[in-house]
Amino acid sequence: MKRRIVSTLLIASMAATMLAGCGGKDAGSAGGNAAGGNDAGSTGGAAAGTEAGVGGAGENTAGAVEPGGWDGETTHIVMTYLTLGNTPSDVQKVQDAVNEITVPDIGVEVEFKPIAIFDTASQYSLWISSGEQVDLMMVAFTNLATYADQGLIEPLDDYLASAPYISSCVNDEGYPLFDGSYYEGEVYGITPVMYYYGTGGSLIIPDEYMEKAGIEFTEDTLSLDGIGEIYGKLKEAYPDKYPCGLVTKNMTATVYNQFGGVFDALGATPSSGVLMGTDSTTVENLFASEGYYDYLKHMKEWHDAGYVYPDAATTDSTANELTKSGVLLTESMTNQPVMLSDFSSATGFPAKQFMTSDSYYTAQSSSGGTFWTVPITSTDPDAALRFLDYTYSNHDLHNLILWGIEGEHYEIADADNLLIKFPEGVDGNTSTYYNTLGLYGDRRYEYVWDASNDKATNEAYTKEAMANPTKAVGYAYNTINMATKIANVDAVLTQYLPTLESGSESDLDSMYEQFLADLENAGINDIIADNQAQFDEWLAQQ
Amino acid sequence: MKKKKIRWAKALPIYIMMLPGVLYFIVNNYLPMAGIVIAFKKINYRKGIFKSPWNGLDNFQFLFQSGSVVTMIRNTVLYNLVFITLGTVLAITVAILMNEIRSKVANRVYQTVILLPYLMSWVVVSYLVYAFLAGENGYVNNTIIPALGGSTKINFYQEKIFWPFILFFVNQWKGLGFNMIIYLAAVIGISPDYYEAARIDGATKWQQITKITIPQLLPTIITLFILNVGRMFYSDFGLFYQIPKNSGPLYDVTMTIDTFVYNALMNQNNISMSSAAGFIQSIVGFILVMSANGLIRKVSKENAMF
Repeated sequence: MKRRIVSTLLIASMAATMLAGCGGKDAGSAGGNAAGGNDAGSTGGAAAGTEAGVGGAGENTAGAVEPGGWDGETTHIVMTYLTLGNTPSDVQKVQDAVNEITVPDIGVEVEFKPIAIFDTASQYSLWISSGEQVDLMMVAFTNLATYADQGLIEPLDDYLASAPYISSCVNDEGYPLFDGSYYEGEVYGITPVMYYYGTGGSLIIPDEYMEKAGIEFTEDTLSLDGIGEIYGKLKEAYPDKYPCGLVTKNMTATVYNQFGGVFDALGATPSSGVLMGTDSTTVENLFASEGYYDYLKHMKEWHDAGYVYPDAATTDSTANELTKSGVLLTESMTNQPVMLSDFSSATGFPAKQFMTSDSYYTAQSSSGGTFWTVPITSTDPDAALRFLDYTYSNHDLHNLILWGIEGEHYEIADADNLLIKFPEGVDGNTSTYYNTLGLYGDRRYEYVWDASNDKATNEAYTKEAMANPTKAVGYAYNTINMATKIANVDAVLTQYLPTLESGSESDLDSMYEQFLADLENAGINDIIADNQAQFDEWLAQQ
Repeated sequence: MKKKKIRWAKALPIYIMMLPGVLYFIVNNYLPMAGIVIAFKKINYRKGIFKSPWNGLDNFQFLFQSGSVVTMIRNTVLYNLVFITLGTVLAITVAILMNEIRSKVANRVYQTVILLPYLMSWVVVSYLVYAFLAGENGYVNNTIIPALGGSTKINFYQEKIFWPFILFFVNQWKGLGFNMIIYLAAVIGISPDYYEAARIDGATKWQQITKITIPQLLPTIITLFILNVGRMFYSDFGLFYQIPKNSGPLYDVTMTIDTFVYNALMNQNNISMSSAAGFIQSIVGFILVMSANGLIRKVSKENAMF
């Protein structure tokens, strides 16, 4: 009997460790998945730029700008440096070069803290709750209200005096740098000045395929039927390939806007209702709209005609990878000029961009934007904003942070059009400082690699889009009261969109009906009512 | 008095040996329990965990407002029931069979082969499964179905009827080896005397199994059963998230409490809501363990754990 008890206990403890092991592994794989298996956050962040001597601070007299709040001391600040997973090996070198400029000019010594963009959501709250010093934190594609509501970041109103250039961009030139970052009436984040504003839909087709399928380029706006016609021609010319360039795995937001849907998500996402078209002031459910249903119907037809990649909803490859390897024939995107140059550089195909809607200008969304914020663990928010402002006003500094050191990481090809190229023998894969996340400064003065994306083209695009604004420009929905319901609506979207928007369901009508019913159960109508009330209040103040 | 002192002196080394384990449990398992309050707070990082304002049961609402609460609880509980019952039967069967293999080499080989999948991560397994089931290039669609004379391709990641079987199969394929080892250890521990006596009395193999092996295994089975029942509200995240590739049309049969919470809160980063979900899981787990043990105590007192 005794032996039996002992062996039972042994087995129990063995089983306990087994279960414990399982638990640990679960968490690991969950985190790993979200992070794309990368721990860039822990690499190299600790090294501080010490080379740029502190002695430089006192000598400064030459600085043209006298930025606010500087008392002549050198302050050490920590700034997040976002990557797409691989930290460029010359980050330290660039950081030293930055400090050579900023220590004498504004008395700020910066330390880059590299982190992969996918890790930010999980790492930021950990850093801040453990009290780690971070002075400038880039919050990308996340709802800023959550950060503000949980007290992770500081309101910036009191510190804006340290940022004269940014203030003048907003107040004098009217750029929406704070839009989408307001929480309870205070500014919490600052976006870079973009080199374009506005959105719309486009279809990008490589020249080679157009030629073989006999497709003429046109400046006219394509309708859904027009897109279908082009798909048909392409399929005829390439029966083994797929003309509709959609990959819907893990899709969390609709891409209806890329197929001609014109709507404004009101500074949030379609989960909280949209304005349809540019004249409406009624917040409504995008997914229940006629236009959206028509789009799904086309998608279903295209899927059944063999235009859509059969594994679109499950593949782990990206659309660019599939286009590059010749599986997909086109890609649908938003219609900014930069999309075309990005497409060509990612896939290697020279291509044409067909418009699927007019360009228009919407409320800036915080969940779709990139914001510089100051966490509560900042030791000197004034110095942080002084540095941030300098990255906006000093365009050399901005380009240094983004593209590295001139002559070493890039060469100027055409100074007037801000065009740059790689030095001899270097390309995007071999460069020691090539990180395309453009999160810094005044991007109107940012160097670009491709002429199709130059300053004049982007200015023309912005002008056209800004002439066609929706009624909600300047508004942003504060989601905080409805956070629970929005999470539930988002869960419904993740469940249905990958199937519906690739047309791979067997029966559209029954699934669509179920989709709408589930959205209502999740509370989309309550969210829309709340949004409408806020919007009406805002409209009344205008 | 003197006698007692000696007893203490004797016991002391044992307590010292216990110390690291006790410390580990206190630091790793008991101290963090204070964090349970997060589930009832509206977290504000500026104020810290304990000074953040209380917000009652608000954090629990999102689980119940979602409209999928029935689906996810049903899936979690039913899958666990199947895994516990059928999984145990399979593991015991294999353990007994394994015990009958006399060749040392064969025994080693089989054990290793059965155990191997347990050592793989779910991500790797998910790609193995994908290689079989993919719509365009999958082995089943391109080789097995044509070989059987079929011609239609099945879009596995959109058709939910297959998934309860696929998930059970994959789970057993991966976990069987380890579960089997636990039972095998117990089976080996049974004294050969019993079997010898039984053989002399003319018992068949089947009788030996039902009359000796199973009763001897009962304490092990009960212990593991209680431990598993305690995890009735938990699910293996890797199995339910990675294997179906988080495919939406399959949610009806693959969504468990863990995957729902992960999907809903991945973008929200709201630690209060996730703690609330975890809190419910542990409370239900605690109640289930107590009641399972209580039930067993009623039926056969000696086999109850406490």
